[in-house]
Amino acid sequence: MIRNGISQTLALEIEKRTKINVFGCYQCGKCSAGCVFSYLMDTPPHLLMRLIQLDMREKALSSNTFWGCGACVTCSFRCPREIDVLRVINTVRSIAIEERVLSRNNSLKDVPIFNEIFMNNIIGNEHVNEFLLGANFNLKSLKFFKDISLLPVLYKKDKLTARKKASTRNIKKIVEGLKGNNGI
Amino acid sequence: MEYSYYPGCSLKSSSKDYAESVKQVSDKLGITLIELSNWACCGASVSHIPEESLSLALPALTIAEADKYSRDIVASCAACFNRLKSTHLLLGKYPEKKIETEKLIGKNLSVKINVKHFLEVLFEEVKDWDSIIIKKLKGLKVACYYGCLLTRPNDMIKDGKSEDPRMMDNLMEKLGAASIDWPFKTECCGTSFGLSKPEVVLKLSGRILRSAKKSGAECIVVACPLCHSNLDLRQSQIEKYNNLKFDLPVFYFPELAALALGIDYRNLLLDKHIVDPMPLLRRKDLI
Repeated sequence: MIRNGISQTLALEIEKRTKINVFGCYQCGKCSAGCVFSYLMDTPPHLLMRLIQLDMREKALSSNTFWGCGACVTCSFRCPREIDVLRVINTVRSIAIEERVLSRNNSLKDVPIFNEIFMNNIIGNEHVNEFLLGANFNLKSLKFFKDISLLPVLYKKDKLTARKKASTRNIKKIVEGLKGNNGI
Repeated sequence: MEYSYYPGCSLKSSSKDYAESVKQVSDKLGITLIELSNWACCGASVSHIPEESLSLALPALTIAEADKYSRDIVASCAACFNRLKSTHLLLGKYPEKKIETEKLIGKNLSVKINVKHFLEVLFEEVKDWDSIIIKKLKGLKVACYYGCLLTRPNDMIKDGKSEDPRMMDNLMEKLGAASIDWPFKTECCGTSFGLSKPEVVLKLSGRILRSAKKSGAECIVVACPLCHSNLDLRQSQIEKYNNLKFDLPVFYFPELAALALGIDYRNLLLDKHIVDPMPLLRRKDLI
């Protein structure tokens, strides 16, 4: 891949952002063996590491590994080479988002929808409003009746009201700063 | 001792019961938690945030706010604790990340104050439980569920055994309960997939509930509002999905500490739980 006139591999790009050297991985597979979410992934964590090592850029960026990841930290924790695999997974996701690469597998299509709603929720409120999070998710993912049976009990047990909207707008400012910086 | 308290979003909405139990127990023990006035969401999970600089900037806002008071930060949500502490450690390790983050939030960071979970605070502050316990939790069989973020990576709670943490088990035993040995104490419950792909939670949390039940637990004890939601609020969905019956109440650890310390159960908002814990507590003569 040519960026700014210089050829740059995916491994190098990850190293620049995180200082993690993916060539330390010797493919033992412990990360994937311990991953409770790997059954959701077309490319389990150790295979994603291999794709990066081989610079199979498109294949890595269009995998659904990072949409299936629940960030439970088991992979990084158990890596005998002490590679922060979760950070690598997240960095690949960031690059995929920046380059607008679409996932080649559609089974986790609601996860990016959820993430976007989550971000908008905290940008608007400075904190999470769980009711709005659920309601907006149902609207955007066209699952209008999801969890609707939980609503009466959530209401009755006062689990829907949230902290008062904060007066500060720090998160909004940061996100705007990042946008100006060629960020998200 | 005085701490800066970071309650986080869930404790202000879906987990007011957790918030209340933390307050009751800290009041009783003379632990002063002073809520930060200007806190912002920590980002909850790195998976929700599109890029790393933002996932560091969000907790950094709170760390900068806490810097003003030079008191350690205490969080009771495992995710808040993990995000704050991971950020704190990463910014300490990589000076250029610290500079980048400071620029992004427009504030300086000292990275000197510590981040602690309320479980650690209880451990450090109370040396002699025997002398303050009013009612031992005798005969209560509990499965201590740590989830992911309390113990991973290695440098989260100061326990020393991340694959088989003991801190909550030790606390429960000091309170007089019997903590059972079981294999799922640090397996993930499915986190926020409850919204984006519910079958994941029904499957993963189903395994946890099944293992706790099979190991003889009468209830589960947690230290995270999302673990609580998945195991308690969604327990009936999980039962249907797996065609099993669990009927396992899920407590936050300070709720059980409060009962042992003689705090009136009516002050604890236990009625917010979905799986009713009252029959079990009555059966064990704890209320």
